[in-house]
Order: sequence, then C-alpha cells, then structure tokens
Amino acid sequence: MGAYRVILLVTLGVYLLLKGIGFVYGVALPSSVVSMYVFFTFLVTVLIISVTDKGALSLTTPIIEFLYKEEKKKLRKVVFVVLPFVLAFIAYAFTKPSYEEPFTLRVVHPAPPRIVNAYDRNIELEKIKNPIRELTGDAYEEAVHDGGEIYFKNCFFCHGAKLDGKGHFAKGLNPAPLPFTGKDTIAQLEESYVFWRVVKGGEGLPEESAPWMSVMPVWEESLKEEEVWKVVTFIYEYTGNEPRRWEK
Amino acid sequence: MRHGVLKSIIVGALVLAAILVFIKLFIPEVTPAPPPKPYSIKDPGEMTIVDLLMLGESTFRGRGSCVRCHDAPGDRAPSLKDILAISIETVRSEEYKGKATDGWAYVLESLIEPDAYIVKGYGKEKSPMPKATRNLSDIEIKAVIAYLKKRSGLKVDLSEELK
Amino acid sequence: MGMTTLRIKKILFPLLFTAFLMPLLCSTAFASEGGVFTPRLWVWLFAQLHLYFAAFILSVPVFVLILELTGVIRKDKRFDRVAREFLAISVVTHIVTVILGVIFAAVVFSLYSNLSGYMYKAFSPTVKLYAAIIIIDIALLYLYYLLWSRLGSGRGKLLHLGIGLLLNLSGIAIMFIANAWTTFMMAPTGVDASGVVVDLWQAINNPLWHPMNLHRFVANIAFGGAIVAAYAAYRFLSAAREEERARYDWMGYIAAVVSILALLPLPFAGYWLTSEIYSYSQQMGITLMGGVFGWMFIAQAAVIGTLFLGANYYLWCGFERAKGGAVYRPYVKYIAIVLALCFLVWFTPHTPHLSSLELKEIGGRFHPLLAPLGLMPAKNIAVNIMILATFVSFLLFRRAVRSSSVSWAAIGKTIQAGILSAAVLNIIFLGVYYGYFADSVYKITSSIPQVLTTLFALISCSVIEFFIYRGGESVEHKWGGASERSQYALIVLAVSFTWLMGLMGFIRSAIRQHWHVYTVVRDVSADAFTPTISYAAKVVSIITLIFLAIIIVIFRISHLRRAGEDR
Repeated sequence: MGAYRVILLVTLGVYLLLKGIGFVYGVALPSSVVSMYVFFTFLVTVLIISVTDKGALSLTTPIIEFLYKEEKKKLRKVVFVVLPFVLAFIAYAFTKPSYEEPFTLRVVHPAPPRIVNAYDRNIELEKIKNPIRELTGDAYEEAVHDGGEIYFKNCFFCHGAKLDGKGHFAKGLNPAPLPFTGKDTIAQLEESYVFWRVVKGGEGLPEESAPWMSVMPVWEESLKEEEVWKVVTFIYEYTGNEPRRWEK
Repeated sequence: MRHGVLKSIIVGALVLAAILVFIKLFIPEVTPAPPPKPYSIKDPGEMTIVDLLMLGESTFRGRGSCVRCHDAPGDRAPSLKDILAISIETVRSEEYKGKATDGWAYVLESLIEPDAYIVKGYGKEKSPMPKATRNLSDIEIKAVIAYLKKRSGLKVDLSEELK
Repeated sequence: MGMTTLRIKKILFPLLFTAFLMPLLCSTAFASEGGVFTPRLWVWLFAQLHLYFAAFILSVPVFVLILELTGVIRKDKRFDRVAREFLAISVVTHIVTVILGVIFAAVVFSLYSNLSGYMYKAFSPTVKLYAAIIIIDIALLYLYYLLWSRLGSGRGKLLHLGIGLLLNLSGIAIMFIANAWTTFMMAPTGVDASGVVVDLWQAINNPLWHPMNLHRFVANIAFGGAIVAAYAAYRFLSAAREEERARYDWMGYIAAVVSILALLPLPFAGYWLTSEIYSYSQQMGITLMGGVFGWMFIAQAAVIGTLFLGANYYLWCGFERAKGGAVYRPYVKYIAIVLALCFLVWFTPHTPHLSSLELKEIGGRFHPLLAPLGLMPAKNIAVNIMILATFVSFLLFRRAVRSSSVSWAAIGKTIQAGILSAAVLNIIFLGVYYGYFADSVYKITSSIPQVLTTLFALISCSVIEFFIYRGGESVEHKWGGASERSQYALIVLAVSFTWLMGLMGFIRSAIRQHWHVYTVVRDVSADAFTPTISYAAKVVSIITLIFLAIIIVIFRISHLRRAGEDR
C-alpha cells in the first residue's frame, strides 16, 4: 500500500498548496484549474512510481489482491455493489441540467471617460468644477433650493422623495435607481462624476456596465448645464454627504 | 497467446476515453456563433442615422474585427474605451507626428494609415494593425467612426458623417 | 514475473464498470438540425481517414530509406530487415489509401458539387499531374519492395536506394500538390475580384503552402513513427519467442526515436504556419486563437502534454534495460517534475472556466495570478523547456547502455549540464522579460531567440555527447527485456498522435468558418456553422477508432502472412 499512500500524499499536498496560494493571495484559484492541476499531479505521480518494476508491482498488487484474493471476498462484494451506484451518480451529476443562476458582471460605478462631449463641447471631467460651490450666502441657498425644485420635477419619480432610491417607479426597474442617502453612492464619488452620470444617463454607460443598461435618461437633452449642477449640489446638501475630493 | 491485440485495443480505447473525459470535465461547452447573414449594405442615400450606427457597430464587432485586439485579452492594441480623450490628447501631444489636427481626424488616419503614428508600446516602425481599407469599404469606415463618436456620447448627424 | 503479467481477463472485468461513465461522454447530442449523418460529417470522415493513411504511407518510405542507408553504412543487417518490414506494412496500406481517396473524391463531388466544380476548374492541370504521380508512386513502391532481396548487395543496393529516393520524391510531390489545394482554400491568392483563379502558380504558391508542406512533412514522420512503434509494441506484446521479442523491442525503439525526434521541431513548424495564417488574415489568425478554438487549443495542449509524457515514460522505462541504467533512475522524478510544471503552464487557460460564485469573487474573467500563465510567452517558455527535458531523457536513455572511454567525460558532462541550465535560464528570461515587461512588438519575436537557444543547446549537447561516447564500448544488454508498460506508452503515443492530428486538422480547416474557399466561395449549406468542441472531439474520436480498427486488421493480416512466411 506504500505506493498509494505516496500518491495520496502528493496529490493532497498539491491540492492544499494550490488552495493555500489562493488563501494567502486572497482570491481563490478557480476550481476548474485546481482540479486540472491535481488531476495531472496524480497522473504524473503514478507514472513516476510505475517506471520501475518494483514500483509498478506495488501499484498493481493491491488491485489484484483485492480482485482475486479469497480473504477480500466480502470487501469485494460491497465495492462491486456500491461502485456502479457511485459511477452512476457521477454520470447523473454531470448530465443533469444545472439550475445555477446565470451570473453576469455589472459594474455599478464604471471608470469615467476623461473627456465627455456634452452641451456641444468637450468637457474634461478632471478639471471641471461645480460652479454652484463658488456661490456664497443667499445665492448659494437659492441655487440649492432651485436644485430641489428641479429634483422634484424630474428625478423624484424614481429616486424617491427621501432620495433613498425608492420612488414610485423604482420597483419596476432593474437595475434599481440608486439611493443618494448612505455613504456608498455619491459620497464615494466626485461631483464631476455625478455630473457625467446625470448628463449622459444610462445610454452613456460604458460596456462593462451592461447588461440591463440603466434607464436613467440623458438629461443633457432636457436640462441646462447650470440646472444639472444645481441638482447635483442639492442631492449632496439634502443627504448631508460631501463629494469626494482629491485635494483640499 | 499473450493477447497482444486485445491489450493494444484496450490501451488505445482508454486513451480515447481519457481524452473525452478530460474535455468533458475541463473544457466548457461553448456554442459558437452561427455564420453571419450574407452581407449587404444599404445605399448611403437611403440610409438613416440608425442604419449608419448599426452598420458601424456590426462592423466594429464583426467584419472589421476591431474588438479582436482593442480591449481584448492579451493587450494587443491600445484601449478604445476612452477614445474621445485619447484621440484629443494624442493630437495635442508633442510626440504626435501625423497629419491630423483634431481627434476624430486622427482616428480616421489610424484606420486608413496605421503607420502614421504608432502608440507607444504597440509597435516600432510598423503598426501591427492592418489597414482598414484592406477589407472595409469607405462607408463602413465612416460608419465605424460614427459609431465610436456615438459611443463616446457625441451627437452624430447623418449628413455630417457621410461627408 | 508472477504478478506483473496482468492477465487480461482480470483487467477486462473491472473495466466493464467504466461503462457507467458512458452517459458522461454522450450527454450532448451528436445530431445537428440535419440529422446525424450530415454531408459535412461524410466529408469529414472520409477526408480524415484518407489523410491518416496518406500521412502514414508518405512517412514510412522516408524512414525506410534512412534505415536502409543506415544499414548499408553500418553494415548492420538488422536495419535492413526492419526497413523491409516497415515497407511491407506500407504496401498493404497503400491500397486502402487509394480506395479511401476515391471514396472521398466521390463524396465531395456528389455532396459539394459547387465547391468541387470550382476547385477542379481552377486546378485541373494539377489534378491530372496528381493522378499521374500517384501511378508512378505505386509503381516505384512495388519496384522498391519486390526488388529488395534481388538488389541486395553491391551496385544493386545503390540502385535500390535510388529507387527509394525516387519513391520519396514522388510521395513528397503528391503531398505538395494536395497541400496546394488545401492551403488555397484557406489563403486564396491569384484570384481576380470575382473569385476566378487567373494565376495558377500564384494560387499554388499561396502564403500557407510552404509552412503547411513543412509542418505536414515533419508531422507525418512523427505520426508514421508512432504508428510503426505501436505496431512493434503490439508484436512485442503478442510475441511468444524470445528472438521475436528482441526484434520488436528494437524495432519499437527505432520507430519511437524517429517519432520523438520529429516531434521536437513540430511546435516550431506549427508557429511558422500560425504566424503565416496571422499575416495572411489577422481575422483568421485571431479566430484560431480565441473563442471556441481557443478552448480547442487547451484540449490540444493536454494531448501534446500526453505525447511528451508518453515519450518520456518510454525512455525512462528504458533506463532499466541495462544494469548501468539504474544510476539514472533518481533523475526520473526531477525530469518528471520539470515536465509536469511545464505541462501545467502549457494548458492553463487564459480565461479559466469559472462558476458564477468564483466570477463574483474574482470580479472578472481573469484570475490575477493565473492570467499571465495563459498568455503565449508562458506557453513558449513551457514548450521549450519541455523539449529540453525530453532531450535529457533521451541522453540518459542512450547513456544507460554506453560507457565512455575518454578521460574528459566528467568535464564534458558538466559542460552539457551548464549549457542546458544556461539555456533554460535564458529561455525563461527572454520569455518573462520580453513577454511581460517589454514593448508588445517583441512578444512574438522573442520566441525566435528562445527557439534558437533550444536548438543551440540540443546541437551542442549532442556534439559533446557524440565525442564523449565515441569509441566507447556498448554495455552488454539484451533487447527484448522491455517491460510491457513501456510498450503501452508506445500505444498511447500512437493513439494520442492520431487523435491530435484529427483535432488539429479540424481546427485548421474550421477556421475558414462559413467559407469553403476563404472570402471567395461561401458555404451556403446548413452545415456551415462551427460545431461545438465536444461534437468535434467525438467525431475525431470516432474517426480515430475507425482508423485504428482498420490499421489493426492490416497489422493482423501482415502479421499472419509473415508468420506463414516464417514457417
């Protein structure tokens, strides 16, 4: 049985090593690749052992003893009854249709383009600033108030009265409208990013955000540039979020 | 007799079985795309902007085989994801030696004369990219550019694009 | 021997249980919309069968001639005898090849009359030439075979060798003509805008013609060698007498070495063909490497790995055939580990098969650790090192029965080891640096210095080896003592070679996709789609089975006939 123990140990060792690599790295190796590697490790180990006569003998003897020795009769009977069922189950497992949920990647916040063509000019998103933020005092307050008005005339049907993404139409949409409350949507984004998303809508999303393209309209067609900025400022003000900034 | 034939047959059959099992276990069942419909393009005079953009997209993904290299695994060609920014920046940069003066003219130039300017890291004196004129007609090249413009969020106008 | 001689009944019984795995193999339907036996299947079947036999009968005379020449130079009767036995097999298979060729032509002309009409119109002068050369070839073959003993010595032998050379030339001419037709279908040149062939020579001399000629020529030798080795293995396994065992052990050795030596340059011939396909049509090249066909290359990689493992296994088993060989036994596991590592890199897919959970976890289709292994530079490193490892096995295999008489043997061996390690390091450096860190233009061109490094190591080590063992005594050892396992390795080699050839032939042909003649004659039939991998694999397996069945019958006949002659 020595040969089989070696094979078992080596195969198991390689399996654990591969799992260990995945564990240390943080992203597990794909199971299809792991099983392929383990399978060939097993094969090569058998080959190495069977090169010599002695090794080959140590591989075949246990099988032949198992098959033909009088003492192993009971074991044999058990195995020969169970084995067909095991094999049948394997065959069944491979042939039965799978009900696994089809999975498609969809990036919710894809990398923005560096330049966006909107309002008939090329806008560099890295350089553009929110003009509303330069206002102070009453002018600023008024702009935010205007933004609120624009929001409730246009956005609230989907994004909701509380800006929580639970508007009237929200249930019918997939992907669902994003909430602005909470710390993981607009709080993570620069204002220029939000501006791009409003202006270009679902149609302007890059391919990695497909499938189920968002139904966010292209607001460039119905809102003025200034109005968009007002709305953007409003949703930050209303939810108490700060836009992400790279420098102070 | 030492059963030479039988042994040979069994070993041979085992090899075939092993190969088939390997394929069954480790190779996913991919169903290849059906052959494309025989190819025809509308006369430019009868085209709408939608026709042009659809022709552009199908050329970009199909006959033009652009996506085989651009944004495909293996980093064979520069990314076209941010083509608007890239083309503008390239034309502005000092290294650019081609004739184009604005971004889209540069894209057109790269399609019909890939060697005019070679993006750093993708070829030395010759670009690995084949000339688009090799298998694409004039209207198809225009359609691809219109599609790329649309994809970058530009407004495209039919008469403008067919010029 | 006792327990080592596995009695076949004992093995057969448990094997029956694997029949339960059959649903696993048959879970996808064989039939497409047009039923099981579509026109495409018929053409595929007969084309591939014809090709197998053609490849076999073209390659056998090549090494029959080499063996005969070796026999004359070394004045060793054994070579002559083995050469004659090879040729005898080839004579029977000639008839089968011609019959299959006629059936194939009939099938193509009746089922795809459009295409065959076009091809015939374009190539009719070469078709006539082809027919004429076949007749000459058969005549030469019979002359070569029947006059073997009559032209046995002196000037007669020279004349006989001359006939052998002519036979080979005519065989090569046949292959070149057929290759011109096939490659024209992939890379049509010399055609005008409406698709009519205007320049016949240009159509023949298309960009893929010579790469294909070389690739097929080398592959045919490797394939023919593998089949003959399997034949010897089969005779060895059924031999009752000691001298028969000795003869077939030796014959198997010669054929296996021919096959392995031809196998080593084959990947490079393949690169040349592939790069020409790329430069003819980028689209065709990328179709070849991506999508469905990309996965077929994973299957191909696994089978090529099996070939290398099988060949090495045969050599390793041979270490034991003389007492001195036992010294080299410990190296087996190191060579095996190197091979296995290369092998794993060799078939790691760039986009592995992922379950939906894994997709979510990895967040993309490429695993960050494995993706670099899936790219071409890693594969190039792997294949070059695999070739060198096989070469080391071969050197040790030879050394097992040789002893050196030169004083500097130890230094020579150290130099060899140095060259090999330097070569491996250089191959890895070139692959890693140019493949992953340098400008992408060098990605492909870096494979050339890698190949040169491999070639340099192979040649320089062979030269040193030759001088170390020149004049040395051959250690006493007996042929016929090979283990049955080593003979099984030869059969594995032959079967996987046959299968691989079928799959690669399918891939090469299928990258034309829905075109009969690429971009010129479109396939408008219902079978114009690309089949799935498992369908292709099953068809190739069935064709392989049919080929092997016919070959076994032929072997059986020639076996019985020889048995009758011997009596």
